[in-house]
Amino acid sequence: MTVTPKTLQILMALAEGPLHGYGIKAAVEDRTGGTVTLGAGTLYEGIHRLLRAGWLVEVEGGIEDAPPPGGPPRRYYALTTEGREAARQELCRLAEVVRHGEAQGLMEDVS
Amino acid sequence: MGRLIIEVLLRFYPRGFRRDFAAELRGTIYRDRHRARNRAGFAWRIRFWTSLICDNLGAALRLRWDELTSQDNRLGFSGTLLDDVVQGQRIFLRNARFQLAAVFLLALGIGSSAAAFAVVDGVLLEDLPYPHPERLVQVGARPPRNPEWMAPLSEATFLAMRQGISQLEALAAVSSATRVLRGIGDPAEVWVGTVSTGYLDLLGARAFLGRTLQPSDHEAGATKVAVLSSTVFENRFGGDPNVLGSVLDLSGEPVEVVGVLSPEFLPPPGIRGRTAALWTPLGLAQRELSPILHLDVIGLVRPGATPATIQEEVSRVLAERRPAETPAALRSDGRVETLRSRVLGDTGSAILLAQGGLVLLLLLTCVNVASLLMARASARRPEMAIRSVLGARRERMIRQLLSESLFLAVLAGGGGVGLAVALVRWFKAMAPDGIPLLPTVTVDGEVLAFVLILSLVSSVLFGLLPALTSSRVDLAGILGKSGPGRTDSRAAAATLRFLVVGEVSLAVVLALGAGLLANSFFHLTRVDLGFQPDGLATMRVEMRGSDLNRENPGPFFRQLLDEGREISGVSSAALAYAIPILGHGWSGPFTPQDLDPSFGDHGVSVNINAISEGFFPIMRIPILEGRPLQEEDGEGGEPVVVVNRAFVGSYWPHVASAIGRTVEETGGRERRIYRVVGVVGDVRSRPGSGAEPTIFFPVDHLPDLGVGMSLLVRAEGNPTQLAAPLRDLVRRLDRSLPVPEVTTLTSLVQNSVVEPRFYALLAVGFALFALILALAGVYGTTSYAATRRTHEIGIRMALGADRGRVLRGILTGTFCAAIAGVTLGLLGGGLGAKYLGGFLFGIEPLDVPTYTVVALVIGVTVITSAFFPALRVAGLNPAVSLRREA
Repeated sequence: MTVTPKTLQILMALAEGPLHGYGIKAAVEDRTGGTVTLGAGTLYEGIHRLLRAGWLVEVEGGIEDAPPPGGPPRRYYALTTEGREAARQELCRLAEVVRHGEAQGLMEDVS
Repeated sequence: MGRLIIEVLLRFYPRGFRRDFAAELRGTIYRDRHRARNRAGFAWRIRFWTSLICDNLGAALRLRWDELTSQDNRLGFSGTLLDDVVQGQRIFLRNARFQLAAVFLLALGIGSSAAAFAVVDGVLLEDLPYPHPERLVQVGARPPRNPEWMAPLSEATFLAMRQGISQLEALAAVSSATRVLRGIGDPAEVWVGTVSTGYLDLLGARAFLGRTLQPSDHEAGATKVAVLSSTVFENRFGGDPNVLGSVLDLSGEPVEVVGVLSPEFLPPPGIRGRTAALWTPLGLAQRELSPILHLDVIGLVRPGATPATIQEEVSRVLAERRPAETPAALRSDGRVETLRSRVLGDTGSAILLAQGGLVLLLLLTCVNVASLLMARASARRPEMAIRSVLGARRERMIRQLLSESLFLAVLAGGGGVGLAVALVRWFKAMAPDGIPLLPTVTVDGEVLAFVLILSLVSSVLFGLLPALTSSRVDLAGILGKSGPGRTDSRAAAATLRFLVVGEVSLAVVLALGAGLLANSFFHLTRVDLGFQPDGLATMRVEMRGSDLNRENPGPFFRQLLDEGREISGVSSAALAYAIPILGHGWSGPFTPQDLDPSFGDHGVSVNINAISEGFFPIMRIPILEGRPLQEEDGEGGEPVVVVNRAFVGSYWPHVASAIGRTVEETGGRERRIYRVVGVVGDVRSRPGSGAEPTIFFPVDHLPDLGVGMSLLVRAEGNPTQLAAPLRDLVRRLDRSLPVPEVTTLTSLVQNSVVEPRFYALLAVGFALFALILALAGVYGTTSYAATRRTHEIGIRMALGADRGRVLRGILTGTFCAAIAGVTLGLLGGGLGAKYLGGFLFGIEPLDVPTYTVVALVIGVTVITSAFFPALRVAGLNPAVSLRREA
């Protein structure tokens, strides 16, 4: 499974602990200041793929996060070791790219 | 509606995914939607729905694709709707050119009808943006001589109605006038709406800053206050909130700004004050009531009362008021109409007409795509036959064909939305001012839903017809006797021909409408206005804006005229109170000598104009009898006037000569008698209207009117070059005046036909679309039919049939269809044309030349478009054409 920018966002959102679907979406938007948004379809498509790849598992949610009255039960997702590893590899790859860019002086204007 | 869209979108996901995630997905979408709703505004809604649809369709297709290509699923084709769509997508790629054409045509039709839906929905179906829109009425008088007019009321009548009409919960009045606004920036002329107590509240106007007008502003001794419109607040005061509390100079009167109205407030179109830059109190308690009929009155009906019953009360009040009113108000009945019908006025029918055109266009699109798919489906009959031999069930095949067209429809729907947004934007930019509520029209969620339904319905329709005919597979016919798909079944050929007839006739109807409107517009631009606008420039100077010359404008205008003549490039100049095309006209009651008793004994209302010497020559208005007005006719001379031909025709039809007869002024405080010294030709105030009885006075005779005059100059060269010197002249003669606009009469004449030009353009646009669609359809079907017969033709030519005969064989069908289509279209167009009657000028709805030209043009183009594909097939070498399908 390849790590697309959006799946990486999902993986990173889950780094600090389990979240439900909407929580992932909100976390991504929060962290990127709204520059990256996940559409509902893309979000659950990604979750579906990550679950199948074994990078995510479904876990039990906390009581304080009870679903809204009348709403569907919330499912929580957490990173597996493989998922954490995949995110780490992808981030290292990106860091490598950044280092190359720096070495070529492409980032001089960016402080 | 949004709920339905979301549910439909969810259906696109694979079943397994749906089972796991549908509930969560739905929850997330609703939360997003909730957020998007809170961010009000059209752009956000559009963004939300488009990203929702793209996001979910994209995800669903990717998941479907995965499922289809993953190992364990490859053989277990699950047979759901989306598999068919994916199959449809493959087939799409296989016939890309054909499918693109179909998508393009369908998008064209969907887009244009969605745009029409947006406009009609926004303008005709949406409620007026006021509180209790269904209970708002306009109250006025119905003058016996002009029953179509909603005549304004006098201040005293308005007050009497406020007291005397029990069925109205509230009644409020508005008037408007131009004033010169000074204070910040250059002096500028602006429209000021003056309103009675409660007017702004009745329309739900809210203050954006400060407050709106309140009852205490109308009381005697109150400070003069004004409320700004949001437009003038932004444009003139740069949105600076410090404008609150500042004192503006409104034509010499200081007024304090106490508020700014919210940008959402839309003054009712068609009622005074629609372009008001600021609003001031009418202040009926602060002064003596004016006898002028200048108030538009709106009322809030008590629940249960109807306009008809209120009308009786209004008539009763008018009758009681009669003895105290000026003659112009006499014998008028009351008139009460819903504000809605007043606001919509005639534009309702114009928009319905445009809508009608678009529906025809949509129909044409449908027929067109149906015929293309139909042709396509016949071509796939062998494939269907083979599948059916291999055991495919009929419903499975129908579903396959349906989902293919669903795929087309989804693509076309997307294109259609884009086109609709573009068309609405274009329509708003092009439409003449005065289509009410048009500024509020947007392509919103409802329109998107309309597009979605339209694409789905059309996909089913388009899918169903070909699906039913081509899935009813006659195995023996196709696989057995004549080889795979060699010739069409008779039924399919007949259906195709039927579709061609439909296409051609719809195109003829649209082209007829366009032809009539274009022809009428042509007549309109060539109509003799009664004067020569070429080479004339004009500017209007309102003396109430002057601090220096307001009290005694006569010498100023005399000087303006004299110095205007001296400007280099000016060959002659004149002054006039009203320029026909500008409509600054005034009317008043007069009694012509020996007036026929049928007009009553209170005189007649005629147009008044005040002019300087030289007006008739500069306008090239002919003197029919007597002499024009001369400089000596001014102050001190005998009171004389000139009348126009319409005046003589209306009031003195049997008199040998109007010269020397007299006209008595009935309205003024003193009854003055004027002697007619000349009769001039008629002038139309705009190309579509007739000439009205008019009296011309020398400028100096009518000091009341003389406060605003237009200077007219005839240029030796290009009249636009006179703009700068004319403006300089005004600046030099009176610094306190707002510097006027200089326009050419030619541009004024052109502006006056903007509306008919717009409708003509619109109709021609429809007709062009229609013609393109019809040609594409006829070309496509003929070309298809001819190609299908390649094999048969090959055999016939191999057996010695000559080319001409073969050609004739292919073309005969199209000929018959074209002739039938044109005939049907002419009949339908002729029946429909009577609804166009109100929009036509100078031609009849059954204008024979237009019908002939349309029939010929469409007939010839249709036959030509069929000719080329036929020629191609007939020109093939028999060996090639036989090999082609072997």
